[in-house]
Amino acid sequence: MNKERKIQRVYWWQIGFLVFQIFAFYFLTVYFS
Amino acid sequence: MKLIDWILLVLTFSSILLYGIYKNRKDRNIDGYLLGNRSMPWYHVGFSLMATQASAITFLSAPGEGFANGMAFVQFYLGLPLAMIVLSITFVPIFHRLKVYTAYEYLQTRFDNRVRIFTAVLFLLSRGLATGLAIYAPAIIVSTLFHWDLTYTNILLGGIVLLFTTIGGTKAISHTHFQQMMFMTVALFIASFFILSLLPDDLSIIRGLKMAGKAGKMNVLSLNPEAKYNLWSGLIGGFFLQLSYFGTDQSQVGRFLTGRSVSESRTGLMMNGFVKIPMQFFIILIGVFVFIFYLFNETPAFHNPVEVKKLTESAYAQEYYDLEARNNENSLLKKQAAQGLNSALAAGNTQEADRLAGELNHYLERETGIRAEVAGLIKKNDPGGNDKDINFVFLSFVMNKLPHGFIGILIAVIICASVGAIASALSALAATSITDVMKVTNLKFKSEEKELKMTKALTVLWGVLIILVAIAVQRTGSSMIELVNIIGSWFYGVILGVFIIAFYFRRIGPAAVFYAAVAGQLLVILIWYFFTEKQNILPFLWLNPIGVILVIGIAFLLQKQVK
Repeated sequence: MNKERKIQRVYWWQIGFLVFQIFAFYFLTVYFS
Repeated sequence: MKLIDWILLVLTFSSILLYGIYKNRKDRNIDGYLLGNRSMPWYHVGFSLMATQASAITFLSAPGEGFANGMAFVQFYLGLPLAMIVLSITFVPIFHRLKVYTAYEYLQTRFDNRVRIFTAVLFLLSRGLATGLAIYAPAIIVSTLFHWDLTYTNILLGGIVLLFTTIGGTKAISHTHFQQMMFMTVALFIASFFILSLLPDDLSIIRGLKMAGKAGKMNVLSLNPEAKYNLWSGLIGGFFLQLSYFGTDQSQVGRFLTGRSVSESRTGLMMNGFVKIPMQFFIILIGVFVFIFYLFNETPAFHNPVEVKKLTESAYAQEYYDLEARNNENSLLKKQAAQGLNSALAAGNTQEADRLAGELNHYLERETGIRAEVAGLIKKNDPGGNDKDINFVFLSFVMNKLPHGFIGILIAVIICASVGAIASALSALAATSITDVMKVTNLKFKSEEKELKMTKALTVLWGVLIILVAIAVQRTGSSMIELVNIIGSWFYGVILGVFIIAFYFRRIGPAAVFYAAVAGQLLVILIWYFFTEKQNILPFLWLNPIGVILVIGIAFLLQKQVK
């Protein structure tokens, strides 16, 4: 796999992780309120 | 502070700085001094990006924010990962291909001298002001520790950074950042472990956090657009702020330009995107842990020991002691309510828990009231006194409650963080002044050696200016992490607007961009003054996208007029 493809994959992981964190924060807010 | 703290403080501090200088002993050219010969691997780029953003302000103010206002501040960083992706796709390859020293150099190729100089001057203004604040933060620690005059402490710390930056150059900064982030992560983990061990034995972490939640501290995510920090302002406003901070602020561009290649710089940016939010979450959470600790323990009436000492030696001493007595009494009642709430939560008795949570919140409000009265006394006694204590919450906790030895190391790490961040800024201010202002205005250097000497002289000049700013802002006292970002928000949107036009609107020419940037900058300041400062209806993060839209919109209209 060339470098360009590799880094594009990392971009998607980055977005996925951000969405996960937003859901996690929402869960924490609801759970601890 | 005991002897063991002093020894560990000096050892930790000097070993981190000397290692950086040792690593850079061979660099004698301008590329080496400013960009570390573009030779850094991705993890150095990543750590350096993080360490540049994480000054002492992060480590003092962020737990203070957590203690006072809860977790909400973490939303400020939500736009960062997206900004990292956009930077990797657009900014990094262009800057690398053109082999620029500074981001503004690119603007001359695309537009003209005027645009380059104007954006460079905006950067110099914003970074100069913000760096002044960044010196002030560790100066507070040192002056509190040694009982030194804050002005002299500002000068001393500024002097150390200045010496380190001029001798070491960028590579030293980068190596120091790497060490510093390592030390910092370990130190913060140990600190939180100590804090948790100080909590009552019958309190689990989950229940402690539930109690903090009942007091409104676990407001991690807010969907309400009117809240000061919410998902929308964090994602959109934060995205624009971080994009312009990392993409157009030379103190950060200078970091990823040190990358060995495009892909090393990109991977470094991605690393920052993955680690930043969890790291910030954790640091703010430490403040919430401190809050939980104080639910069960006597809370100081005011967290800044220097101001308290001044009061006890003044004509208002008796009034202060009365307030302190009231606060201690309130602390006891608060502790009882907290213990009751803990038992109710453990027993699963929701009705009783809700009642006790109400009671606890009542005592917490009283505590805030008493603190406000102490702040009033401080101002009455000395109108120039610092009546805000948010930045001292974590510091006074560390000094009074954590074990000796560890205090010394933690303080060294916090001061080092500052030195690292300020060093990046200083190097960037010097680089921008020379390449974007002096050289563009027809200044020629006879040899590279002369240019390097001039760059070093400019580093010194900026160092002195920044120390003066630090002394001037000494008495603002508001939450510094917020103040730094407000200053950034004044200028970043406009600078980013110029770069976005440069990348994506090929038809817009130099004159339109220049006048749009000037008009946009004036408008952003006016909008901030009327809507953020006076009427308090516009959270400051929105100034970033507003700046971008204004510059692009005005430039677009002006370009049409030209045709």
